[in-house]
Amino acid sequence: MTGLLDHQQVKTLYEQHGRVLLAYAVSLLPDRAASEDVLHQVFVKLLQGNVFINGSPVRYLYRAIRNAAFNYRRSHSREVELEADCRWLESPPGMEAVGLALESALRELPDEQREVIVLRVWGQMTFEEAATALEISPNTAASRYRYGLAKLKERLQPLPKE
Amino acid sequence: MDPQQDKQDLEFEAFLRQFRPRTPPAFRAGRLGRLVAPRTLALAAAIVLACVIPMRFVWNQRANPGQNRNANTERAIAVDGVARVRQENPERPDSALNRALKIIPSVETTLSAFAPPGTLQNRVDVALPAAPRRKVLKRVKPDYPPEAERLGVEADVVLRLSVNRAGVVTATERTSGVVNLRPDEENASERADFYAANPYAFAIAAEAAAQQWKFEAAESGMTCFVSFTFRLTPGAEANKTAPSGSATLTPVPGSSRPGLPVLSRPPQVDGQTVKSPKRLVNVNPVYPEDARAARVEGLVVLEISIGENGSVTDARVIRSIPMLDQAAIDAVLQWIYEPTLLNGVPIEVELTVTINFTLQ
Repeated sequence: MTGLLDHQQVKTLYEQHGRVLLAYAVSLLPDRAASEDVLHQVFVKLLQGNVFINGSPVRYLYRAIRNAAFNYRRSHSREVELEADCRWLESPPGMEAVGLALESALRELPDEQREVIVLRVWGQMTFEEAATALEISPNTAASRYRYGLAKLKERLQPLPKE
Repeated sequence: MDPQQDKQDLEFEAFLRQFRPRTPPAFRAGRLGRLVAPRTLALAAAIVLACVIPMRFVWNQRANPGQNRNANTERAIAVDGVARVRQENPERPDSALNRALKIIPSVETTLSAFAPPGTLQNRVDVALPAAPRRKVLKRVKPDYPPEAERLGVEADVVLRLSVNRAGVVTATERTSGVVNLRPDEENASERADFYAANPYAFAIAAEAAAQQWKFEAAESGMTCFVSFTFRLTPGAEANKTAPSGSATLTPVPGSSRPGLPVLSRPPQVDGQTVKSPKRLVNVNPVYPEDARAARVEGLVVLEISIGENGSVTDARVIRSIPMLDQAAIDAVLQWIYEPTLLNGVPIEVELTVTINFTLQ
């Protein structure tokens, strides 16, 4: 799937990766609506048919989401942030409280740790793939991941034991 | 890397994966084969509304040519005054003004019937642009100062009344006073002499009346603004022989909501008062969003310079409300007045204008 993508290919990418890409966008942006906008911006560009993808489209998508999210943050940096609409994970039955705590803990992580965790845990990427998407070295990705995971464990310590 | 650590990480990852990212909106490519972001849809809706609302406004204008303001803007910003507010939407039964007037109806008494034809005519209007916090039990109309009436001097006086718990007016304070000596008309020197001898004639008359006002009793005292407008309007009979006099009272209640005592000092040229120029173009100030959110209201008084061509060349804040000053300045700088003529030559004049920011 290298080069220009047709409508069906874009649709398939959206259906297969949209969920995690949205989660990734939510991990970078203050609210879900903005994240959906960013996700759609990226896919609209693909549908317009003027994006030539060199390499894996999935990696391209993560990088595009990241760039679009940072652009969004920059252009909206003067806006006052309202209460974060951060419900972006679906909790298993009976674990809603843990889900909320997890979302809150993820939000408190530094961006660079959070994005690696999202790519690795929910995007199921290897460190190499995540590193490519984020344009960092695999070792950096791995260390950010471990730091982030340690913080999450610490924050969620009392909760997973229920 | 510690294998034990790796195992723990994998377990924790598996734990995290139980929480699945929420599903994004379904892939719906429209006829254009594009996804439409929710905010794009909102923008499109806003554009449609922006087109539809003015069209509706135009339609309403055609249907009701006299009705040119909607209810929300009705008292949102009243510029230059009592007269303006009193004119707003007289036909709208649901307007704030009409609601207030239902509580205390406008009273207009013509006393000309008591005066022989050809003599002076007194007229007293009482209007309450908004419901007062306390009912007025007794209103006394001021007497038009006889000498001023004979000479044809007009004035505007605003008083602030302090009312005690029993409803008695305990103090009056002269908030502003404007006397129009009509220097460009005949007998100007007589009027100037009168004013020099009696600079407070109108204020004294207004205070004498206001001190007799009585409000209903309440648990606490209050303050209340009252605007007295002394105007000379030639009556049908008096027209041929002498000007008639009228005094208009406009009490503006409430200390926390100063309401509408909006007066302009007449323009000055080298310290001399000249006739107020007529405003040809009015631009209402835009209520700043932050002030609206903070519910900041009140009066901004500006001193403006009007150039020879009638445009406002400068605006200085005399009475400031920091969040509202800029909006007031921005608006008045767009106003255009009829050029003021002195001996047939256009001149620059200074004028004090008051802008009242009131939230619905």
